Order: sequence, then structure tokens, then C-alpha cells
Amino acid sequence: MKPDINTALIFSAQEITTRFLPLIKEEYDQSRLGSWGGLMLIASLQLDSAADNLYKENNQMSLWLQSKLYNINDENLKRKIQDVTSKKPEDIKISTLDKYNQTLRALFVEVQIIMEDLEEVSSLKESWVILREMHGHRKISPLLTLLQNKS
Amino acid sequence: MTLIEEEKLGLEFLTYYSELTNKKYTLKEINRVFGGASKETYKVKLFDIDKEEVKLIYRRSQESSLIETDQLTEYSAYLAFQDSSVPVPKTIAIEETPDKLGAPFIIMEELEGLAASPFDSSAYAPFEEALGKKFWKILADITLKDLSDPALTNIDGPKDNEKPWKRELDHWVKVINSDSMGVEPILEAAIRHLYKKPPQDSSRKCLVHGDYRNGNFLTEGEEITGILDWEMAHIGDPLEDLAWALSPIWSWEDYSKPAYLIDREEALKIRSYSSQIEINEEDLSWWELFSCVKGLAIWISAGHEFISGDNTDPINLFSAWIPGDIHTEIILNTLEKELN
Repeated sequence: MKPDINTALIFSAQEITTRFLPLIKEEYDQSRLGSWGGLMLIASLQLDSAADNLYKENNQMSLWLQSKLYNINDENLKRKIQDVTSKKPEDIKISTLDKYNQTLRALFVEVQIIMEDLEEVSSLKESWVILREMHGHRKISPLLTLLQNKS
Repeated sequence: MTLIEEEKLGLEFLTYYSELTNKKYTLKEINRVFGGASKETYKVKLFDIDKEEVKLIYRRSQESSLIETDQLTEYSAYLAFQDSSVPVPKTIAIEETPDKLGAPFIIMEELEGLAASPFDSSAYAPFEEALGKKFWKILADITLKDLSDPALTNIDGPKDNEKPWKRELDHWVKVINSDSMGVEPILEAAIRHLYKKPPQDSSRKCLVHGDYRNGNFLTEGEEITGILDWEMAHIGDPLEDLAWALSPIWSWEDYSKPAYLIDREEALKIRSYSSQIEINEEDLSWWELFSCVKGLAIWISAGHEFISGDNTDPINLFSAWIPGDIHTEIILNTLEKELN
């Protein structure tokens, strides 16, 4: 099996921070290069799961939106939700999944507002469970310590 | 900027400074300071004719900056606190146009002391107690600043009956709408929440630093030698700086000690006692949630700068990724609690 992109990025980041960083004398350039090394490391750790996370988020948002159709009076919005959630992305490129994710997010916000107005607490709680999970996919703050040690 | 360009910048600065002071100097060194993407900050060391070293800070506007701020705001705030209980660098010059050195800039004397990373939990050890007491007392002193000080004339604030909370929230929502590259349901929910449940109008307005937190002050042992980065200063609500400084983002590994200094309760007591302003907990909660929205506006703006290619400093990517992530999580925690 050939080396994957993640591994290549991890080794590049390590090489930057351990081999080249100490050679730089200027403090500003040293900090800047150190940051690049750390950010590259973070990117490498996110890369493998990015498409899968988007795929899961899209499914979760679609299901939630569909389940709220009965509570929506705005016919245009209803149609839009049905239209968007019935279609699936053409491919599984990260960019395609992300574009679809953004469309769903916009609808998600619109429906959340309706649920807030209706004081539909259980629907809102469901929506926050989804948002929590989505945030978990992108959460990189635990890597802060790692980044600090690298830069 | 290459080393040759930096050297050129140093020599241009040397000419300017020699003319300004009508004295002869030679350039010892010029070094850019990392961080703070809104301005290019350089430490400049000159020698005078007696070979005495002169240490200066030279802060230039960037063509593209994280948040559009003008030099005059920061300079005015420094002027207002010269020789006061709020330690600031001695001001030397301001140029508001690019005519002299290619960009607007300010010059100040360099203060002794170190600035820590706001994400370093042990940055102030073992002086957390002493520094913490000073940090929150200085904040009270800023709050008590007499707004009729002529130095503050150029600092923006609410007009007529404009409410400070609304002015600030409108401003940062505008930044978000202008720079956002995607839909953020968690942030959107926070904005709706803040507009729906505004705080009470404060009985008094005060000077707001705008970015009062760990990382934006210099320390030497147990002394705070300088409060820096006033470019977002404005007139506003007394709780705004307090909430910003208390934000868990600045003590991510230990919520109980804001800014990695002293306990939250003690911090609130010092601030409240020293400023003689009682703290309404509900209003403070509003301002704490607002801090997340303001923070996210700044981080979104940083991401926009980066992705547009206007400013590919990694600090912009870092800001968009890490602090953006943390502020989103704080909102998530806050609004989930409200619902339960």
C-alpha cells in the first residue's frame, strides 16, 4: 500500500518543526513556520474523517428537516426542504458534500427559528443534539496543546 | 516580508525618527513581533550618538487587517492613560496617512515585560495571585476613566440614545454577515438569543478596552508593566470588557480561573469593589454570550482574510480554526443549558 496523504502531512509537519524550525534565527519567521507546522498537523488529523463527517451531518440534518415538515406552514419552505432532502450530492468529493451541507444548514436555521417561535422544545432539543454532534466533528480545540508544543 | 525588505523598513524608519527628534541615530535592529494580525508590529532598536540604546515599538497598519481599526483609536487610548494607574507605553508619534512611510503607523517606547500566549495555562506561574489582583483592579481603573478627558475625543461610542449593547451587537453581526463563508447554525442561534433577551441599559457608560484579556498585557515577575492592543477601544457598557476577560476561551483548561489568574468569584469582587459598580448576573451572562459572538466575528473575519488571499499569515488560519472552535463550543454549552 502506498503512503497516504495523512501520513505524508504528518511527516512534513514533523520535519518542519523539528528539522527546519531550529535553523531559523528570526523570531517572527520561526513562530510563523512553527504555526504552519502545527496547522498542517491539525489538517492531517482532520483529513481522513472529513468526508464521512459531512456525509453523516447531511443525513442527520435531512432526517430532522423531514421530520418537521408537519409543523411548517410556509409552503415554499416545505417544498424547498422536500426538494433538497430528496436529492443527494452528485459525488462524494468533500467540496460537493460541503456545498450540500451548507444548503442544509441554511434550511436547518430557518426551521429552528420556526420551532423557537412555536416553542417546540422537544424539536429544539433534537436540533441541539445534532448541532452538538456536528460541532464534535469539527472540534479541534483539544489539539491546542499539541499545537502549542509544536510552535 | 524578506529580511532585505525589513532592513529597508528599518532604515526608512530611522530617517523618519531622526527627523522627528532632530537627533542622529543608527539602526541596531528591527524585528517583527509574531501575532496580532491587525497590525504589523516591530521592535526597533536604535543607538543615539552616545551609543545609548533606544527601544521603540513601531506599529503599522496592514493593507489587509483582521478587523478594520484605525491607529488613532489606539493612540488616543494610550494618550489618555499616560502616567496613570493603567500602565501603557509612552506615546511618541502617530501618522494617520501612508505619506511618510507607506502606511499609517504609531510609535511608542518599548516597555519592559513579556506578553504570554492566552492559551498557555501556566504563563503566569508562580505569580497568578498577585498578577490576578492587579489585572482585575486595572480593569476597574479603565472603567472609571473620566470620559471627558480630551484624549478620548476620537474614541467612538453610542450616539444620542443608542444603546451600547445594540451598537456592539449590530456592529459584530455586520462583520459576520460581510465575512462569513458559510452558515453557522450555532452562531445564528446565539445572535437570535441576544436580540431577543437584551440586557438592561447600564446607568453609566465607560471606556471599553475592547480586547482586555490575558495575552494583551506585559508582565515582569508579579508586575503588570503594560496594557496593550487598544485598537478596538470604544465607549460602551461597563460589563463588556469584564465579560470578554472572563470568557472561558482565555482559560480553556481551567474555567474557574479566568485569564489563568485568580478565581472568578475573587475577580468579580475586585472588579466590583474597585469600580463601585454592582454586577447584575443576568446582564453579565448576556455580555458573556455576546463575547462569543464578537469573538466569532473576529475569527470569521480572520478566516476570510486568509481564504481571500489578502493576508495568508498563519495566525489568521489559526484564529479561524481554534478560537473559532472554542467560542462555538461555549455558545453550544450556554444555549443547551438554557433549553434544559
